[in-house]
Amino acid sequence: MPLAEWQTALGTLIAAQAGRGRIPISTQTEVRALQLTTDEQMWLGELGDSKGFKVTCEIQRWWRETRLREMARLTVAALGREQSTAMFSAYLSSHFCASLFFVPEALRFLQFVAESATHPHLSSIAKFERALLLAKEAAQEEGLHRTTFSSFVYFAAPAEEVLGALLQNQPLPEVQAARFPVVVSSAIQHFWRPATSDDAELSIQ
Amino acid sequence: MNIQNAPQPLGVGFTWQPDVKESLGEGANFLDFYEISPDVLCRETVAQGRRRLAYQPSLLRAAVDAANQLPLVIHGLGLSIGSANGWNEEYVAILDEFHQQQSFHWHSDHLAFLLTTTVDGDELHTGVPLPMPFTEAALDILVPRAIAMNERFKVPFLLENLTYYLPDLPNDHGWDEIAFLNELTRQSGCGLLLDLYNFHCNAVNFGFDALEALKRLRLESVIEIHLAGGAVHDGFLTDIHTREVPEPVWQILEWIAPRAPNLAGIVYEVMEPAVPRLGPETLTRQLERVRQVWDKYCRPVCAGGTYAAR
Repeated sequence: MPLAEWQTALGTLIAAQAGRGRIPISTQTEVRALQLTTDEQMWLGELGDSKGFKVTCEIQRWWRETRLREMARLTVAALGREQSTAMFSAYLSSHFCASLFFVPEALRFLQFVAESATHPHLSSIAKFERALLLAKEAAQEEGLHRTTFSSFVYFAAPAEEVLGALLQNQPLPEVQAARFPVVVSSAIQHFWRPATSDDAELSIQ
Repeated sequence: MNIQNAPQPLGVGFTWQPDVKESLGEGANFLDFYEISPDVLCRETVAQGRRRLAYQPSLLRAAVDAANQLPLVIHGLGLSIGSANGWNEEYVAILDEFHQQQSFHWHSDHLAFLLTTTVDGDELHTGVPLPMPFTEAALDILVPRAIAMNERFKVPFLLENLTYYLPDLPNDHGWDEIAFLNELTRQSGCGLLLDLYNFHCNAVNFGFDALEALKRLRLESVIEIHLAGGAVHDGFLTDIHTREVPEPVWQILEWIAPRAPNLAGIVYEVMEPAVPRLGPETLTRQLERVRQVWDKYCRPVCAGGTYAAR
């Protein structure tokens, strides 16, 4: 199926350029191995240097970043301008586009931040924001599809202080040795609250 | 397109979004129909390589309620009709589900592909709609699918021309975009959703005269027209619906509206986040101008309160 191969080649080149800002030699080799006509190979070979190809990739990247900035506001705020740029680059280069929808992209990004962040507050904020998204999604279900989402997220300072500082653009509180759990759930008002001692026992089990 | 298959003219439309009437202010008075994208009423989950779309019930209800106010047409984003490995079955499923709840006058999607595979055979999402080559192989994929879509809901199916930035797309027989669109609509019987802003972008970006090119288009295939405004990025005029319609696009509309015998609707497209930024006054001015063009060239003769063919 030559059209399928042509689409694979084009999609692969765009995914590489949009995600990594370059087309690795290994990707070029893979594309050259596809069953394409000489004309198609020539067109693809010249495509990478064209401004139109770069603009296509930049638009794809811009759309993805826009979705993340919209859906992961707490985490992007916690990252700050420089660190968020670096985190976007790291994420986009390792996670190619999987969806045009805002939530699936944001869930993958927040998982990535939670796993790669070295600062405890940042990891907690990403986990918290991810859990909030899942709780809001579950709350929108109706009838037979309705499920309850509940999760515990642990902060390294009282969550109200961490989130309050974030929302007021103030320095985050000191990291403490103690853990401060919150419950995030589709079944509670505003989707979260600090965990009670009963909740915390449940989470340990 | 056979004239018998042309839909009843609707008039002036706008992209449906929650609270659209409030956002448009007086501009809402110029509307005859809404254009709804089923995709934006849905949530998508992607797990273990499986893509699943499901309606958000509140949004679906709001969209169906909108149909009690004005007629609806459907404009999808996610069909990926040009994917050689098959279109997006999940999107077709939500279209079926919508149709079970609410009829629509016609439906459309983009002449593009979004889904392909990696060299290892895994699904690969391109992240932006990509153009089809202007080839026989592309027609072999598109024509039977367009026919199937035409028959599926017993209302016209339209394909929308794309803004693309990739130069010198592969072609057969020296076909350019217009020649390819003519072949596609002639062979499939599907209609054309002619996005004048997209075509204007291509003309500006690749340096050709849009009006001269459109003189070669089978104008009887044009069922709907899209208008929009966008921004320049790195020397390219881009397809982003955030601004007023540029003057050259209005001029093309003035030329084409009286010459497209089956034109049934003109839609001004604005992205939801841009609606408050443009504001009701600007949106009203734009819609009033669309209304003037429609009334001047396209308003059907009303007979007994129903539309009659022009």
